[in-house]
Amino acid sequence: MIVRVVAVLAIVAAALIPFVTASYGLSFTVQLLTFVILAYSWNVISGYTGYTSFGHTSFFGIGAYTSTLLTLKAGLPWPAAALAGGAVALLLALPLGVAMLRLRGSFFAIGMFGLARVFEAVAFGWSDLTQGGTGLYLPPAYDLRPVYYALLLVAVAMVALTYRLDNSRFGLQLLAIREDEDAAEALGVKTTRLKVTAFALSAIAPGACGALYAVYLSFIDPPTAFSPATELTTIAMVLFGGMGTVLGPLLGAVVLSVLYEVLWAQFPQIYLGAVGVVIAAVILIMPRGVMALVTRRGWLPAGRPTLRRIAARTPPPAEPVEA
Amino acid sequence: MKRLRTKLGTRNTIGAAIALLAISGLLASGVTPVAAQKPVVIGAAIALTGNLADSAAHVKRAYDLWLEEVNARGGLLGRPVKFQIYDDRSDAGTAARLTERLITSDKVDLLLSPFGTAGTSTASAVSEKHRMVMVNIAGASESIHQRGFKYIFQVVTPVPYYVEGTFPLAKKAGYKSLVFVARDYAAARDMEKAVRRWAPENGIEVKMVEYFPAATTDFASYIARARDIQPDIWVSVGYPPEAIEMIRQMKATNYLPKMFVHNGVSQEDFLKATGKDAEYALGMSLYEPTLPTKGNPEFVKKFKAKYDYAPGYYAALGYGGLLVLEEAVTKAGGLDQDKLAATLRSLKTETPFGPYAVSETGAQTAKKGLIVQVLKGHREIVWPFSQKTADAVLPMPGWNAR
Repeated sequence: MIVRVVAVLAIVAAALIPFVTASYGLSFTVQLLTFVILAYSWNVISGYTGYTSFGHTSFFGIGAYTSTLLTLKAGLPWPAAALAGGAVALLLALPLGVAMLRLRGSFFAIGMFGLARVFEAVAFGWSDLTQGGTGLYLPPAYDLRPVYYALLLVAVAMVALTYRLDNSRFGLQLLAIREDEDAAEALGVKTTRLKVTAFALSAIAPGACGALYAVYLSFIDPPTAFSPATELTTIAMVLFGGMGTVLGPLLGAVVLSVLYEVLWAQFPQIYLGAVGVVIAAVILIMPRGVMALVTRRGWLPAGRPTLRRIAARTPPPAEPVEA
Repeated sequence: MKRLRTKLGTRNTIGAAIALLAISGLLASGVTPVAAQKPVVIGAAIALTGNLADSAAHVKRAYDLWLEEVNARGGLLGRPVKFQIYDDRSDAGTAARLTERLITSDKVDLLLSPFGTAGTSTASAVSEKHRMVMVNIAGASESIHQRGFKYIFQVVTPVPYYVEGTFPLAKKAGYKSLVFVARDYAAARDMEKAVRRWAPENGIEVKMVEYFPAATTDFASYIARARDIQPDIWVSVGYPPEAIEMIRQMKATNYLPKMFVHNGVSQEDFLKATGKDAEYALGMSLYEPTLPTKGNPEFVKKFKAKYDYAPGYYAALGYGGLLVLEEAVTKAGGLDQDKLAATLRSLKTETPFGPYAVSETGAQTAKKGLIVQVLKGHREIVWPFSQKTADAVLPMPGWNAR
């Protein structure tokens, strides 16, 4: 109950932000929401399923390019273009997932990183379509509020989806894959199908989010669309908050975004180093992220309440068997 | 105990005295017009880290030099001047966000562009939205001024004119073929168009056009292809680190075209990093310390005294851009952005960098390029012929013939 009240309050507060802040504050929250969405998406495939992806910006970039091109060439309004960005990312993720998820562990991570570089090279090389390194220009977005609300919607959807996932059989099956894929398979978990589903699910929001980011920036070029910095920041956020948790990505995204912002203003020269130290400290002291510590100390209830309730229920006494 | 109390008492007395002094100081300063002394803040997001940082550092040094001078001569509009500078990490997206921050959160009075074309493109969309004038210091692409923006004014020479002088030089030497290897960014795409227009007019065939992504350091494949094609001329546009790597790798593979032209050659970094191998390389330049432009000898002298090297065109751009802004603000008599835009549009002036005048779209129209060649460790102007300080040595002597 309290959780719901807090959630509703948080959403209302987020919805009011555009009315109380200057446009720089809005610009900051746009960035923050972008990372919230990316962090939650990454969390689905890497946090729950344990397949560490270093190439999720592929979908971000694909979404950005898809929607920008649709806006420029077909005159699609941006909300429709953003939906198309998400859809194209999904369509691309299905065959890619089938191929890439044959790789495990570090091979998958490296494979995904390479994939993002391939997409970046295509965006550079296919200059008839993408203008290569010149990038594509959209008309400047004079009012950021609609983009903000669209991002907020996607972010809230991702949090809700993760909560559902955390309390579902599907989520448990993904965790089983993370802990021991062979054992999970032996127990009858349809690992391939579930992995590909998780991968596809984790691609939609980055696609839509990339599209919205392009609208916000009114410009997209290959280094921005497929930026390794975006990827690594996202991963750092989830590691900070806690992989495979419902609130971890949110916590990581908020804390690290604010940290970036503050350090930027005060010490532009050392902010990268400082953020590196913070992340290293978290990994060394709290390898499972801040959320793991928070639940261990009992400050917040442990995750998966629904499943825990079911598990805690005493089984009915066995029927006496007639001899 | 008593002694302690006395001690405390003494300390309190001293404290009170200091407080009184401070208050009276405040009151005294209140008599002079504090409000009028509020500094004029000039904001800029510029690459302090990332792959443009080395190049942008020259611009930043020139900013700092100008800042000292302007405050020494009484500031802008009688107010002291201050910079608010952020690091955009050489990233166009970050540049836009920081520009937004400068305008809406820091509420700066005047704006300078980020370093380079990509950042200037994104940041100018933000300044345009807020109807703030942005002085385009180093965004050489024409595309920036083809978006119908009304508040962006270019100091740097549009990029086609960088390469212009290559053709008269090549024609004089009787060269027939050219390869174009460029960093993939808007300015290079503009230059490609110029090359494709001017090369045939001078009887030169364009045999290869290749783009490499930002932050590329390995040019072996392009050098290998050039070795096959054997062009007379190699033209590249990008930043000094790329020129440095190209020359190093050409030497390592014992390859050299008859004429190597790169804008990066025109910065001190190139001479420092490649040493003797810099010899005979040609640079597209916009400015040289020897130019007889207005105020240039003083600028070179002060710059050398402060930083211990002669300014290249990046430094001159930064310095010239600020002088243009200073003159426009003084002429406009205030910080009203619309008035300032109108002033910058009609202003015709000259700085150490060269002449300034812009078209309706804010694109620089007065300043053209130079071609330099490294001879005996110094950049000499070899084109325009009317301004030359030395004759071009062509073909460049091979690595084994030096």
